[in-house]
Amino acid sequence: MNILLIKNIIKKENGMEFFTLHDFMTYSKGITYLIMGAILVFMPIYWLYLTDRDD
Amino acid sequence: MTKDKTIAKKQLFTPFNVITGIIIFIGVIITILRFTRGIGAVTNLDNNNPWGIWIGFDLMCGVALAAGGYVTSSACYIFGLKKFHSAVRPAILTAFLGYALVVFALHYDVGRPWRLPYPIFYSPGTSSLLFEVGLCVFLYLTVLFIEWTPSAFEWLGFKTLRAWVMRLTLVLTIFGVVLSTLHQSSLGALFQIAPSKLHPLWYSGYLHVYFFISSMFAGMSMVIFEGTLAHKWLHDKMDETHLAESEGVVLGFGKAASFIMMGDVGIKLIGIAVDNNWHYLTTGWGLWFLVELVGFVLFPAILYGMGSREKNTTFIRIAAFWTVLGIILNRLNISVIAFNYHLPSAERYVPSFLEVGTTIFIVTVGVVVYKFIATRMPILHEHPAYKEHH
Repeated sequence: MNILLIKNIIKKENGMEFFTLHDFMTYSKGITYLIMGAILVFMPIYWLYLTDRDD
Repeated sequence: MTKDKTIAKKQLFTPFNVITGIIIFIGVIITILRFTRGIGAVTNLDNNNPWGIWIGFDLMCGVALAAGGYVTSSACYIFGLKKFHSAVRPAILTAFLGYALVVFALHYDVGRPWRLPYPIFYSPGTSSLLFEVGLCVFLYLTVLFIEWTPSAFEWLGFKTLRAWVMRLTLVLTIFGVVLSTLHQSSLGALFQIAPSKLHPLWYSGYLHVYFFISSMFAGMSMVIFEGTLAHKWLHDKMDETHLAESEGVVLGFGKAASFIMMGDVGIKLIGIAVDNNWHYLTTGWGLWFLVELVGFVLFPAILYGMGSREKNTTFIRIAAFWTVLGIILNRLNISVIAFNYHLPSAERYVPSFLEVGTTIFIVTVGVVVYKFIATRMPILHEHPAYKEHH
């Protein structure tokens, strides 16, 4: 019952079709991990950009 | 004698004194109205909107922008970055006044000032986030007061007392960092109990993390911004050490703020991704969210980065001012603008001019007290008798 409710809410609010909470979590966590990976690559490079002209 | 009186009169009626005098006079009248006729007489608050700009600006922004105290003192005394030493006293004074004014402003919102100690000593609600915030602010204000006292003791010539307090510097700094970590994040956590009221783009399970992370660059930006104002208006109170170190403080804090702000953009994206809120970005609220995130976090982060790389302090000073505005926008978005977003426009909260007047009055009191202290005590310069102690 709860899963159905969550499914309907998610479906209605996001305009995307998720049939289970597991579907939703797999999708959102997948995107989250990709962003986290990009941050892990970007931040050290940005630190080098900030510091490479330091004495 | 007449000439002396004329000079004294001229010094008393400066533009600064006249303007602040008028604001304080009006503020006193509003204060009398507030405490004699009740909160309803001066505010537009109601049952839907029990918190207005006195909480959203005076408290939320006040605490965030006062974070320069723990950021600067921990950089200097815990991380050993002694090149920031000259920035510690102005930062501590700003933080102390910031927190003192937060407590002062809170009286206007909660009323009955004589009951202020009740939540701490009489009926502590230990399961409440507000209790934790109250306790931390109470303790941290005490810590900041003690951290500020060496300047007052040097000014008054209390050498023994000063020596005692100076021995506590490291302990007080550690205590300050712990307390700030707790209550800066708790102010964000306060809104986590209202997921249905706060717009999903601002609401997140990481809201407490956002508040703590943003307090770091808010503090750094405020130190740079306040230093810029002090250079313009209180330049004659600065000694050679302060002037020589100021560029290093601006460049160092600019670099650190840039890095943290980039991280902040990253965790905001993670917050959107976790809740799958991407579709909101194309709505009107989404555009407003992007104005805050791109215009007031990403843009100043890049400006800070360019400034610290090119050693361009003008870029960094502009970025600091921009970031201070961004922090104010963020805290107001969460506590006022995007809060109760679903209500019809007729029921939305708009502050009354007396509320705005009270806020301007409180900020003005802070500026006047800062000027009074900075022009008399060794804040922007070292006391000649204690130079060898630093």
